[in-house]
Amino acid sequence: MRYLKKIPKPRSPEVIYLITRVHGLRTHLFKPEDISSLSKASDLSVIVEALLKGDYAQDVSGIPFERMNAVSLTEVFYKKLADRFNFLLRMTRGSLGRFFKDYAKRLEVENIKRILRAKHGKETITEELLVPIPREYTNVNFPAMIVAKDLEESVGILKETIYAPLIDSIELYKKYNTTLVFEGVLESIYFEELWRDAKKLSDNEVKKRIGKEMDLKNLILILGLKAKNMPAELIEASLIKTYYKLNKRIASSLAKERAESIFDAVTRTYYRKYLSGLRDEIEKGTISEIEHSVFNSLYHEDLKTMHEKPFKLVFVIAYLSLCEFEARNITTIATGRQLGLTEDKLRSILYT
Amino acid sequence: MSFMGRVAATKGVLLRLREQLQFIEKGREILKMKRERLAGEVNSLLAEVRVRGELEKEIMGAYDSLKKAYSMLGYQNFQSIALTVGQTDVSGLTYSVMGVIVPELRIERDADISNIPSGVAYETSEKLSPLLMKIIKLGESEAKIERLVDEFMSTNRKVNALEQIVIPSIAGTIRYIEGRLYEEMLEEFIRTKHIREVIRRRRA
Repeated sequence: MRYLKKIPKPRSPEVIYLITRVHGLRTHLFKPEDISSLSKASDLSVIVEALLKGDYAQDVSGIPFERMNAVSLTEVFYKKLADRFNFLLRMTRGSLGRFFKDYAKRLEVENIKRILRAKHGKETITEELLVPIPREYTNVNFPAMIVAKDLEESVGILKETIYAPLIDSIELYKKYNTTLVFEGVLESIYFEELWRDAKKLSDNEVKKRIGKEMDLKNLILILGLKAKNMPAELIEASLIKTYYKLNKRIASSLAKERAESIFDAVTRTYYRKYLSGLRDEIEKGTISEIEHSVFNSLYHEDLKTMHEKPFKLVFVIAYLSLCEFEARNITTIATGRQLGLTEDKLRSILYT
Repeated sequence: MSFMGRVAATKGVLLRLREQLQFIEKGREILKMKRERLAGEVNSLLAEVRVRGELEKEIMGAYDSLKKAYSMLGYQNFQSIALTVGQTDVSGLTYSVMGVIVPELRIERDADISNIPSGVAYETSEKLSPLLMKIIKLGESEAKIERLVDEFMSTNRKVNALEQIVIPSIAGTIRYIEGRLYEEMLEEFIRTKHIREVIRRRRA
């Protein structure tokens, strides 16, 4: 009976169906060479023309001519990303469905972060600044959070959701006056849920993919906060509390590490291959380069997974991750082209 | 502007004009001193304004970084991150330099960029934040220079007017009255001599 309650094994019909569908869906994604040719576009109209031929056609054609700019396009890209996530949700049920539902919550988490940042800055925020998630796919009452009079009231609205632990972080937030506390807790909650679901899937490759992302995010967070000279207590509070190849002791010692020896410390971890070529960046604290390099490596690993593991469940995770990378890449291209970034500069910030 | 022909050539007028000339010359000296002080102030501020070229290059560099961050994050995300940065509070005061009211800007609260969660946005803010301070200081210096130079030019015009027109004109009038008075004195002397000669001849 216990066995029956378990998640379908990767070879179950549900998983096979899902993988088969994703094989079809992946053909809708831009290939690296498409991204490369888009980055060469002379202006935004060339990009729009290319977008009108693909998956984005319906939404892009709905943008009035006078509103055709990088801002409207970015809105469409993230709407499409949310749609792609939700499409998989509709195809899955049970524990597999729960896993993808929790995976898709990264968009919800992003929206909560955006609202809390605005509340912290005592600024008004509109729904236009949020990733459009259909109401049926979220338990968070974003409109109420937006109109809440302050940050505390906004956090209070999350009381009935999985993000309730944010309420306990208010004290720490008040102590350091930084939303980084909440962002850490949100990431922690997100990955905790996702990790729990991933473990239930009994698929080591899925666990490895999620665990790696989680640990790398923690390492980047530690390096970023250390570059800002944040206190160890705050760094530890902002970390994702679930670990894969790292553990609490390693994370805590990294948070307390001196700036001059942090490179040696991070390259002693399991993730040395991602960071060993970044000595200068780590020592200078140029987090953007570290972040880009690490996520670019993940992007390449996902592309590799798509080629090498086409019949595994991790193929679906790689697809979702590539959807995200695509949204980021085409946002970068559209915005960069509108701002007049040169092709070389544009290519240097793309995931290619 | 000549007083000649319009003033009575009397000793009283001469004395008054001499007093006036003395007063105007003192005024001219004071204006010259003011002009020099203003020039000194402007010179000292010029050093602060000379950084403009360099600052413009730095701003262009920071804008490149801003474009990069904006492109990487997209409008919505970038805007959301920007909301975490507190405002920079600047208060404006004024003080007087040789009677010229000049502005002084004080940065009451610097923007807090420590909340920025994204690496690329944080690095951009690290570049832009000190530049904002420099831009404020440059703006202050330029506004001061503008006002001081205005006053310098006005003072210069006054000194020139005094030196080229008013003083020569009064000095000319004084010379004219002195000449007239000398002539009158000579006339009087000759007349006295002549009368004395007539009286002497009658007595003889």
